[in-house]
Amino acid sequence: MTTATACADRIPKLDALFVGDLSDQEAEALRAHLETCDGCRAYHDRLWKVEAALEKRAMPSRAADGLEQRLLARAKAQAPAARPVPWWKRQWVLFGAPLAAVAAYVLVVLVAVPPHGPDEFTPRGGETSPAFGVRAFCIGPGAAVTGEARPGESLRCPEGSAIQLSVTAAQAGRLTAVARAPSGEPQELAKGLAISPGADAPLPFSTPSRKTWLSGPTSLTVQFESEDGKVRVERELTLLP
Amino acid sequence: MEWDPALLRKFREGDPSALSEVFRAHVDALSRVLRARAHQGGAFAHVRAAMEIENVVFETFARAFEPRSRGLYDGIRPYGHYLLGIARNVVLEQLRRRDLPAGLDLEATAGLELTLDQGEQWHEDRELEALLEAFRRGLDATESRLYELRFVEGLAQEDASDRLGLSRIQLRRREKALKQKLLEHLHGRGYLRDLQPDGWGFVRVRGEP
Repeated sequence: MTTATACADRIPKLDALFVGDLSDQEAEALRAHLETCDGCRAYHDRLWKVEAALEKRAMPSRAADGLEQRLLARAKAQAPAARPVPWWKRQWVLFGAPLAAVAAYVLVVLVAVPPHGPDEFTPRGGETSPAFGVRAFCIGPGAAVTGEARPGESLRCPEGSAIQLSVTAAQAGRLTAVARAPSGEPQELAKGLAISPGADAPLPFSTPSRKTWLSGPTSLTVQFESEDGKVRVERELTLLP
Repeated sequence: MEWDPALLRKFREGDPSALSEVFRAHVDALSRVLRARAHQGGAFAHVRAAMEIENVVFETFARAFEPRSRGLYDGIRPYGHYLLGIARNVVLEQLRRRDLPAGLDLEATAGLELTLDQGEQWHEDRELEALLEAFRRGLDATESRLYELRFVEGLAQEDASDRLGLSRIQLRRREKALKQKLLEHLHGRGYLRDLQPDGWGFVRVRGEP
């Protein structure tokens, strides 16, 4: 087994993490570095185990607290969107509209509206393609949602934060999301990810915002393709560091 | 951990306080099993490094806390075993994704026990205990009392500060100073030199397996 050396400029940060003097944001940035540096990871590993032994735990409470925050943020993002109030519970129906008017309305609807096509959902605005929507959220270091954007909008997500996508799809399919900056390599946020039908379902992972791929306005293209390959929808929004 | 009807209902609804309670009740036991299994080798061998343990624990709870999984839990089956089943799948998926041979004995991993292995980890733990004991012997009376309350008796900061007649801020400050001193002790003993990386990085050194 080879030995490794921690980066000299990161050792004070790693020590500060152990002592409890590092901010959440700095800790998140350090974590990103640990993923790519054997020496720093080994150094962090030793201190992590000392901390665990000191507290007589298998995982230091500091690390467990960090995981708990991330899990709660994720669970919050996964909370189902508020269901619209059914029309029969709305105020005007309950207190205002006469029953005869409702009956007439139902009659008109039955006569005028053609039977449903093969798709369960169709989007507003006269589009003929099935409903597909995407929202992007920025999750800050404190596990708080710091921004949200829909297609055509911009999402600011600085380094140390993570980008979480949430998808609405009328049918099962596959999703690919690629961020392309004017210069630099494209960053894949998801590739051929299986999507089940549903509303506002968050992807099972988020993508850390890093300067390596998000250093200026970056176009994020989210592409959905149905399982049978017949439907292909594309949405685009802009990411900002 | 007791699953009363109120907790189960709140858990299924995704109430943050219920999720926290369940997480805190199980996180250490799950980490303990992962560490023990990592030292026994096989499929879990890569879960030795702190980052790997954290990643597996996070992914395990993330799946267990998904709305569908929460809705399916009945509050009767032991939740720890349920988590271990998920953790096993997470580890197997990691191996597949990273295209590494599992060397996996499926029967052995199916029967994960909440016990510590008496092998390599035992020695690692003894080494750490010896280091900490040597550190403790070098403390003055005030530092020693703080160490005793926080890390031997395991009191929360609030209770320890009451016992010492300190404010929470004072206690936190002294604890940081104590940890700084421990850090110097570890550097002095060479504990943070000649490091051997465990687990995976995204960057592999040319020529390394």
